[in-house]
Formats: sequence, C-alpha cells, structure tokens
Amino acid sequence: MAPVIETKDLTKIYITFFGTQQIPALDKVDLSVEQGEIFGFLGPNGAGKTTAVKIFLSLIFPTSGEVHILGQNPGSPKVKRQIGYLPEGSYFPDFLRGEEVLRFYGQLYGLRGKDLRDRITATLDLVGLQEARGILVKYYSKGMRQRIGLAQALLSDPDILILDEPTTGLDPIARREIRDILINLKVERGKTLFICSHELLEVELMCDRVAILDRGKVVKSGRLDEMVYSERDVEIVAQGVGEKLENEFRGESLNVSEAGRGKLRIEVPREKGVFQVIHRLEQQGAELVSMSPRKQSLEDIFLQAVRDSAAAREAAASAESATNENET
Amino acid sequence: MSNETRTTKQRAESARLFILLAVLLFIVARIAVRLDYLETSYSFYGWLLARATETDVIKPVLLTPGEQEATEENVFFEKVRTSLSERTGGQLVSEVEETHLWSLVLAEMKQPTRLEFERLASDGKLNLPYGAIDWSEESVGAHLGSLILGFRSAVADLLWLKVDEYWHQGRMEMMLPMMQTVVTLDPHFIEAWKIGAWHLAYNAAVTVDTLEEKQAFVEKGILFLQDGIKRNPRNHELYFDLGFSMYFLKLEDYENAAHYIRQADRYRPPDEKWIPRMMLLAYERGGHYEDALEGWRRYLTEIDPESNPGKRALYRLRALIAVRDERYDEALPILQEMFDTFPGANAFADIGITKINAMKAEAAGDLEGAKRLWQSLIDKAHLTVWDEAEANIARLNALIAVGGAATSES
Amino acid sequence: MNFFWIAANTYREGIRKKTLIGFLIVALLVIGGSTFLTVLSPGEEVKMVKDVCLAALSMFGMLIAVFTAGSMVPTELENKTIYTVLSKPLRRFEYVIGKFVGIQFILILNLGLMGLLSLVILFTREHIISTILIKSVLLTYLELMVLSALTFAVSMVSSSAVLPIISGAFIYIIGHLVEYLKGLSNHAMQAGQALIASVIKLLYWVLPDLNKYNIRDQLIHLQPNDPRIGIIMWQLVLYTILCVAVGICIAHLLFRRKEV
Repeated sequence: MAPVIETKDLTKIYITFFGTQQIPALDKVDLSVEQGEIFGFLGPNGAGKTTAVKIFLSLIFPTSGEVHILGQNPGSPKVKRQIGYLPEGSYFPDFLRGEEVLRFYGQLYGLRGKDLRDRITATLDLVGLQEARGILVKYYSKGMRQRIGLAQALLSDPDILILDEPTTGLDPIARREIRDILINLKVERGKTLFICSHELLEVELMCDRVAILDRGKVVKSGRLDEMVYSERDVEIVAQGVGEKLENEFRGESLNVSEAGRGKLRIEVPREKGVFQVIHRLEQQGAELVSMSPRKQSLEDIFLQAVRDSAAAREAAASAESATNENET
Repeated sequence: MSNETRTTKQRAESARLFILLAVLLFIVARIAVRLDYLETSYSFYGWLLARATETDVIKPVLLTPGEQEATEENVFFEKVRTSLSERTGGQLVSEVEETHLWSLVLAEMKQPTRLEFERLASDGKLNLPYGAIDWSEESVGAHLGSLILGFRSAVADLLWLKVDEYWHQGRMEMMLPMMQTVVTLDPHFIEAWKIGAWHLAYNAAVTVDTLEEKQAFVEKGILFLQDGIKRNPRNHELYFDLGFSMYFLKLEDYENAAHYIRQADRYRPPDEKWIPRMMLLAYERGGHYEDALEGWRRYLTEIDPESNPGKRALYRLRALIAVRDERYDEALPILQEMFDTFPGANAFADIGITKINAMKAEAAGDLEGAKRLWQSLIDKAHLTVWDEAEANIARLNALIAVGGAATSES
Repeated sequence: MNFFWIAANTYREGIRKKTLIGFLIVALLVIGGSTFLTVLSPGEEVKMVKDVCLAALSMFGMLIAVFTAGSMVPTELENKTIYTVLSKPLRRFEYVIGKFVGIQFILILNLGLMGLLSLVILFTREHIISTILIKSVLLTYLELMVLSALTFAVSMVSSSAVLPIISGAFIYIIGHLVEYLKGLSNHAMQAGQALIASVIKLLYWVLPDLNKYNIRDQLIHLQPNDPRIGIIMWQLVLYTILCVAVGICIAHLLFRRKEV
C-alpha cells in the first residue's frame, strides 16, 4: 500500500528578507509513514520538526524535494479534508466559545446542519469538554485548550492526524487520557497518526515507528521495537560474579555496569557468544538473575543519535577546513 | 510533484495573476479617464454657467459698468459661446435648460475646447466656481487641510461660527476676510453669501463716515452677492437678496431691483408668493405700471386668485395709469370702486379720490374747496401724504392770497 | 462558499473586539453632539448638522477601515490562530476573500449605525428622510472600500498590525493627493519634459483617486443648478469595484505563497 505521508529529499531553507541570510531547516529528509501506524517524529528543539509538519499542511513551502500526502500535493483541499491538525501551543480564537470554535472549523471542513451538530457533540464527548462548550476559549486552561484542539482535529473524522506536541505541558492525568484517545484512534479506528514530540517517554509508549531529526537531518529512523530492542544483543544480570571475572569481561570490551546490591549487568553482543559467558559465570559460581534482550531507552538512543550527528558534523567541518587549507 | 514541475506551475500561475493585475489596472485607468472627463465637464459646466450669468444677467445692469477686458478667459468664453449658440438656436446660455446645457457641455468637452479649458484652468487664468484656492491667502492652511480630508463644508461651517463670533465682538477687520474664506471653501453656502452681503452693505457701511466709504461698502456687498450668484446661478434666494435687500431697500434703484427679482422669480419654488409680489412692486415703484398690471393679472389667475393685495393692486395700478395720463375722470370711478370693495383700510383709494377731487376743484377754480379737501387728508391722519397735503395747502393759500389781491384789485 | 464562514467569523471577531466598539461609541457621541448646535439660524443649523455628521462619518469611518483592514490578518498571524484555519480544506484565495468580506461587514455595520443616527437626527429637524444623506454615506462607504482593500493588501506582508495601519493612513493621504498629479503632468509637459509628464500622467490614471468621491459634498447641498450627478455615481461604483479588485488581486499575489 502506498505510504500515507511520503517525503523524498525534502529540503527547506529559510531565506531572510533580502536574501542575506540562509537558514537551513530541513536537509534532504526522507520519510515514509504507513497507513494505520503511529509515527513519532522526534528531535531537539529547533531540529525542524514543526517545519516539516507545516510543509505537510502547506503552511510553508519546500525549497526542494518532494512531498506527497495520500499520493497528492499537500496543498490540495481534497487532501486537507483527510487531515486533522493539532498545532503546537493550541492557539484558538479567543473571542469564541468552545462549541463556536468547533462549529467554525466544522464549516470549513464542509460539515453542515445536523451533521455538524452531531460531530461537535461527538468530539466534545470524546475529549471530555461537554460541560465547557459554552465558555469562551479565553478562559480555558492549557489542558482544555489541548483538548479542544484535539476535538477540532477530529471533527471531520479524518484518516490522518498530525499532532505537534500533543501532550507537552499537561498533567499526568491529562496525558494519560489523551494518550489513550490517540492509541484508541489507531487501534479501533485504523487512523494514521503523525506525532511530533520531544516527550520521549510518551513516544515510547505510543509509537510504532520513529524518526529522529537533528538540525534538519534524519539521524535515525525505523521501527521503535527494532531500535529499542536489539535482537542480537543480550543482557545478563548475575550475582556474585567476582572481581576477577568482572575485569576479564571489561577487558573483552563488554559493557559491564552495576545493577544494584552486588548484581552486575553484562551486555553481551550476540557475536561474542552468550553461552560462553554464561558458562564462565557458572564456573565462577555466580548466580544468574536474569537474561533478556538488551533494551535501550529511547532517551539513550536519542542522545546517542544526536551525539553521533554532532560528531559527524565536526568531522565534516574539519575535513573541509583541511581541504581549504590545502588549497590556499 | 517534482521540483521542476512545481516551480513551473507556480511561475505560470504568478504570470497569470500579474497579467490579470495589469488588465485590471488598465480598466481602472479607462474608468479614471471617463470620470476625469465627467469631472472636467462638470467643472466646465459650472464655469460656463457662471460666465454666462455674468454676461447675460449681471453685466447689463452693472452699477459701474467697465470695459470688457480682453483676458484669455473672456476670449475663450466668447469662443465657446459662439460655438454653443449655434446649437442653442441663439438662446442665451444662461437660459438654456439645465439638462440640455449639460448634454451640450458633454459634447463640447470632446473637442479641442477641453484641452484649452484644462490649460487655462491649471494656469489659474479661469475663475472657477468650485475649487479655486489662492495660495497666497492667509487661511491657506484651512484650505489645504479641508481639501485633503474632504471636509470643505464642515471647515467652512466652523469658520462661519468664527465670523459670527467676530461680528458679536464688533471686529469687522477680522470678520470680512474670513467671510471670503468661508464662501471660497463652500460656494454653495447660501446663508454665508446672504449674511455676508448684509454685513458689508448694512453693518460695515454704518461704521464708516464719508459717503464714498459707505458707498464703497454697499458696492462690495453687491459684488459679493453677484459672486455668489455666479456660483449658484439657479438659486432664487441670492437673486432676491440682491434685488430686494440691496437695490430695492438700500439703493431704491427700482430698475435693477426689478431686473434681479425677475431672475429670482424665474427660479423660485412654486409656492413662493413673496418674490413675485415684490417683483411687481418694483415695477410699480419704477413706474412700469403696465408691466405691473399685467403681472398682477397673471398672479391672480395663476398663483393666488383670492389675493386681496392682488385685487387691490389691479385697481391701484389702473388708477395710477389714468392719473399718469391725466385722465382723472377715468381714475375716479376706479378709485371709488376700490374704496367700496375694500372699505376697511383702504387709504389709497381714499387718498386718491380726495386728491383727484382736490385737483379737479382747483382746476375748476374752487381753491377753498381744494384746500378743504387737502386738509381732510391731514385730519384723517393719512401720514403718507401729510407733507404733500401741507405743501398743497400752503400753495393754495398763496394762490388764494394772490387771487384775493387780484379780485380786490379788479 | 468557504469564504463566507471566514467572513462571518471575522465579523464576529470584529464586533467582539473592544477597540472597534470604542471608535464607534466616540463617533456616535460626536454625531449625537451635533444636535446641540443651536447657535445659529435654522437654515445654517441644519447645514451644520449635516456637515458635522458627514465629516464625523468620514473621519471615523476612515479610522475604522484602516484599523480593521490593517490588523485582521497580521494579528491572526501573530497569535498563531491562523494555523488551524489555513490547515483546513480551503484555498488561500478563499481565506483572503473571506477576510476581506468580513472586514466589509464590520465597516458596513459601523457606517450603518453612524448613518442611521445621522438620519434620525436630521429627521427630527427636517421631518423628511434625507435621501441625499443616504447617497453621501454610500459614497463614503465606496471610498472606504477602496481604502480598506489597499490597506488589506499591504497587511499581507506584515506580521505586525502597526505597519499596515500606518500604511493605510498614508494611502488615504496619497489617495487625496493623486488629483494634483494631473496638474503636475501638464506643467511638466509645458516645460518640455514629455517623458516625465507621461509617467506622471500614467500614475494619475492608475493610482486610486480618492478625491473622486468628494462629489458627496456637492450632493449634500444639492442646488437646483447642478446637473444630474447620476452618471457620475454609477461610474464611481464601477471605479470602486475595479480598484477593490486590484487590491484583492495584489493581496492574493502576496498571500498565495506566504509562509506562515
């Protein structure tokens, strides 16, 4: 099946007013989001996540490269009818009441009359804002704004939801509720969700696939469980290993770390021979506490990826300056 | 969509929009041209009517007629007038009906006449009825501001309040120039023209001592009203003010009064009665009894058949004509009928009858009888003829004395 | 049809915004205050009331027009409410038109209220409904429609509301000075500078001449000698529509690829 969102070599360079400065925001980004999955788009602040999202919604335009949503141009109204968008920060017309906001957006989606009224009530129910529908948005709390934002994104029952920082700044209860709604949308309604976030814990709980963006480049992407769970590596926790064996392991460049109360965690890459390590532990008389596939936290992966990209940049920069020096 | 197709598509769309913009601007320009033509025509219309009014109505009866200067404006006007008179069949421009004149103007403005008009106007050689500012005037700031903001009449109103203030403070020297500014800003401010002329001819004239100075102010007042008339050639109020307040009341110049009140009568609203009556009165005072008589007859048939002053006027005028022609026997029965029809307050008939009888008595040699008749006028307190009666009594007394001497001699 | 919802929403924003209500109240006070002009003779009084009402209408109308047209889009950009709107299935052009029509709704409401009050005031004095006043108000609205269209176009490139509002004031002043380009061009022509004269003349034709609407001054004091101004009014309506079209075209050009 064709990907729902697809970009190829997507590049965006912001040019300041008189063309004096060029600020690269996206650099040859390749993305592919499949139907019915929750895709996490991660990156530090200023990485370019919001830029990419704005391009999906034709709020801004790419400098080069291709973008297709449902196989078409992002700008076409037909496509936009299939998209529900929750922008970062949730800014809504202050002077309207909750239900007026939904009515306005519903009208823009092409909903009318009874259909519109039903959808408004349905979405308000879903996000739990039924009681607040008659209050001016001016008086909403942050959490309420996020909810009304989600509600307006769901008005036309779109197949694609693009959410920019949907849970940032919310209290844990609200987070849980929204997370549940989002997962439910995918699981029971088969929708595709594209989520930008730097809340790694939330992403880890929700997403199927992720891409990590740093300074406009995708530095890592793939299925979350593949990234987090390394099939090839094993993590062994043992008790009573003894210093000698510990130093041996360290000498063989196996990652050894404390696991609390005399326990040791040994990370064994598959090629190094897991069974051998276990055998040596057995010989030592150590107690095997647990053995499991090595799991990295998303945070680790994220930080690693960002670090790698920084290192790569430095290398490229010094190589360039070396060539420059050679030339002069 | 690939990069190249996207950019080409965008460029094509931009190009289309720019072309659309150019087309729209072109159409805007076309309409601007047409509006400009209409506006120039309107300005020309106003100018033409002002000049024509000046030539046809005002100049023939000027107090101090001057020589026709050969200014560019006058030359141009003559040219236009000749060209138009061919199409109006010789009718005076100022009398052509408005819509007809407008269509004539529209036709005229298509020819080289227009270029010349614009050139003269932009050179300031034309006395335009609306919009002309003298940049050397002190109140130029007010002009500029109001022109830009388009609030000419509102500014004129405020300045008019100032004029009123100066008037109550008695500051003539501040008031008079400001009056001029007001009417320059808003030439259709009829009250300003009327009251301004009143200030000049009546109030300012009082403040000076010599006859020449007084007369100068009255003339200023008249010129002021004439200026107003040129800019509002169809406004009956201004013609009337000039004819009545200035010529009739102030100068007792009944010829000019009748001339202008006649114009007022042409343009008056249908229910207006005072103007035609004053016009007829001006005729009468000027001695044009036949015109007055005819006018009253028309008044009674067309305007107000029940008018008592009208009916009295018919008698009065017929009597006046008879007296003028010395047909006293014709006059008497007219006057008698007048007295019988309007017994109450008919001084004229009474006086007339008494005077004619007195004259007849004198002609017949009955000097005493004549004297008695004259005396009766005084006794009845007919104040208007008091002096005349006394003079005649004195004359008759003298005649009686001479006659007595003569009879005593014979 | 989408533009209509945008327009309705814009209108709602306008009437709930306090600043516009402020303008309106001040304007109504001024117009109402004109009833207290009892200094002069009745003839002069009516004229003054008419003039003050129209001047107030014109002045405040201009302020409201410039403020509304200049701040609508920039404030929406600034407080980021535009994201949720533009991400909906509507073309950018529909958004532009919708915003513009909404601005017109607001203008019409304000002018309508001021005009109604003036009409009532005059009615209590003259005891007839002054159709001339209605025509004058209409002409004022036409002028403001052009002014708002051009200010609106300028607002497309700005992210703050201040720039377009100031530009709007400038456009108003320049619009009233365009008339003098004609004389300037003629003088240049006479001075032998044909090229400059032609350029100036071209500008004179193309730039919006707001002084053309000044015939309302003559309309309000219609004298028997004035020819039927009917044709001028229709031409003016056409002129207005086209100038507005130019403004919207420029706005569209500026907004279609604007990065929000």
